[in-house]
Amino acid sequence: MKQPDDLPSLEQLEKDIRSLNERVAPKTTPSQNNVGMVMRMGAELLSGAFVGALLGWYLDKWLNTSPVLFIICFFFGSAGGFLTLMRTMKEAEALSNTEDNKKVG
Amino acid sequence: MAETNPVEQFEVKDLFSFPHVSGYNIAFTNASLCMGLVVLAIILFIGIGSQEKALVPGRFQSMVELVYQFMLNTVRENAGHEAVKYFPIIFTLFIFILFCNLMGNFPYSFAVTSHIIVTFAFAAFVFTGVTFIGFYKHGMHFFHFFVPKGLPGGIGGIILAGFMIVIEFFSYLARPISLSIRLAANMTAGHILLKIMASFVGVGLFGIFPFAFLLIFTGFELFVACLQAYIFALLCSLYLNDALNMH
Repeated sequence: MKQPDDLPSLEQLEKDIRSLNERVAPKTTPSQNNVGMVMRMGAELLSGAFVGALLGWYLDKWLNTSPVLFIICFFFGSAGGFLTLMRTMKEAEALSNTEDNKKVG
Repeated sequence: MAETNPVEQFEVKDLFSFPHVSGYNIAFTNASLCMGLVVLAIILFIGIGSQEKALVPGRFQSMVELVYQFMLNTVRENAGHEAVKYFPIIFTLFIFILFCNLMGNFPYSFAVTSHIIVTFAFAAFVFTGVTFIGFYKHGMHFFHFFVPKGLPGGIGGIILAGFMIVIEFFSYLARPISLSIRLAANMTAGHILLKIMASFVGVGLFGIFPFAFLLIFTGFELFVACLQAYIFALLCSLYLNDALNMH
């Protein structure tokens, strides 16, 4: 490819890109991540209970113990959902903490 | 005003029928057509974008490189360097879901990702793959993933560990369900809302308000389409991280 002589050198270009990235990037990415975090939580809570209920229902059908396993599995599944939710919250918290540090530093 | 049923848009219709193969209907449906168009669009997008290999990229090349770099960074940051060899499959899933979501916003098209069976197929594929990778890398040691750390000793600790293992197991099983429900529910809800709003536009002069809302919400729907594809890929890399590095 032909390059005119008055173009800046590659090193200069890379330096420019990096300094621009430093100025622009922190403003856009973390907020996107936070919206993503919030949207993840609802489904996680719901799916835990759903999986528990489904598994319990079919185990009951198989072992003829209705409704004992359904109830037990439903509670364990809900607890699992809460566990995932808690982890997501912790992640979000850690993320916002690093964000604050960036702003201060 | 035309009769509008907000869920009619999700109906799968046969376009070309074939004889059933051992009881299964293998007809070419509008969903198949839409997926085919999506694949075509992806090939065009990536193909044209990587045609010119300029050092300082033009507009099209820049778009493709941005998407690629963004996903590569996401995988690298969330799952480490070791996960980069699984990057092609995550990128493929991401770009396919992204284009399906965006394609669903075209008038008269079909939102493939609003069907839970489609998203569940993706999620189940990721789930089995990640579990397999975990067992391949750690062997039976992978079961330690379900045992939480920092439990008290004695008989109480053992009982608590039993409870925690069951809960961890359920939360692990819930992964593909939450992955698929999130994507399908978001797409379905958005499309139903758009359809209902659209049915209020034809009420006369005041139809301008639902029309304005529709305009704004279509933009929001495009944002959700991108975000949900990103979340899917992000969670894939997080699960991969769990399988590769455990905790």
